[in-house]
Amino acid sequence: MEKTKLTDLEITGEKGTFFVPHIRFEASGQCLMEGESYLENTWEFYHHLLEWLKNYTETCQPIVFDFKLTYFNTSSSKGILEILQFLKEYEDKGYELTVNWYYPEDDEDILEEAEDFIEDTQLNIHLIAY
Amino acid sequence: MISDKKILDRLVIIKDKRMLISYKGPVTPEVMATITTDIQQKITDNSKTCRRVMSVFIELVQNILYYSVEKIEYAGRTESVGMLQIIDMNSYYLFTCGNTITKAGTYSLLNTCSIINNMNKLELRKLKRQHRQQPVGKDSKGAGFGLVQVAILSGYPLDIYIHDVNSEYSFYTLGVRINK
Repeated sequence: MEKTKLTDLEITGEKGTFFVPHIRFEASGQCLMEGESYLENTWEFYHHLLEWLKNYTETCQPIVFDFKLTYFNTSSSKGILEILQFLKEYEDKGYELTVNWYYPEDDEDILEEAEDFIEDTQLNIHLIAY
Repeated sequence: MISDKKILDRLVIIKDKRMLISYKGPVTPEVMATITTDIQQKITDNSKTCRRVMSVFIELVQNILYYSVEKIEYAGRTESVGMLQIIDMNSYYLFTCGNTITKAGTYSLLNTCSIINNMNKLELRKLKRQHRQQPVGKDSKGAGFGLVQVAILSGYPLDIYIHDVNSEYSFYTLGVRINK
């Protein structure tokens, strides 16, 4: 059976009753998560992202993952950790991975979040102030 | 735990301060969104402080949603009831929330706050990472480390007070200081 072709995943960021981050996962391997994350159905949202990544990693192609988050609640941080752990497993299998973490230069809280994710996953996350 | 005298002292202290937000009633996602917007409109002098107040607000209000035993029928739904206050204390913001909980719930809450209040920031970050590594429970409502995150953001001890309502229930308030 022919495999279904992987398509881009795009979720428009919204700030209403909840904060939905902007997601753009491209079939080229360029992935972006941007904005704020405080969701009504956190587990379902991050599960959906992980499913896309699992399908993508079957291609064995490089991934560049850019995090440009300015806020996420503790539930979302569990989801982010799951994504990073999954990416680490992919890298450990020998595949090419780049993770960039952009943070406002005046916001040490978001920087510390990244430092803690590095500690948790042992990923080489590039910390980039803007 | 703080004493009744301390509560009275606090009321005297806030007499001349600026009350940014004061709310008591059903805590719905819509109410949370309105207050979040209000926070962003009122704390405009420092974006980092505003983000911290907003983060603390969201974590603690979720606790009201999940754990308040006082319920009300509101707009066709059963909603949790709680109270919230944000006061501008000149050099810092004082965020206070409160709701009714079961007597049994007070012991674990006091224990959690005691553990948190005896840790420095590095220890709190380590504790947070330990909690975050735990798998999500089947019926889990939240991440389970909101209070730890609040303590990290605050940098000050959590100011918890528990008032017995009757043999079954207590009312707890939690005060969190966020420097400007």
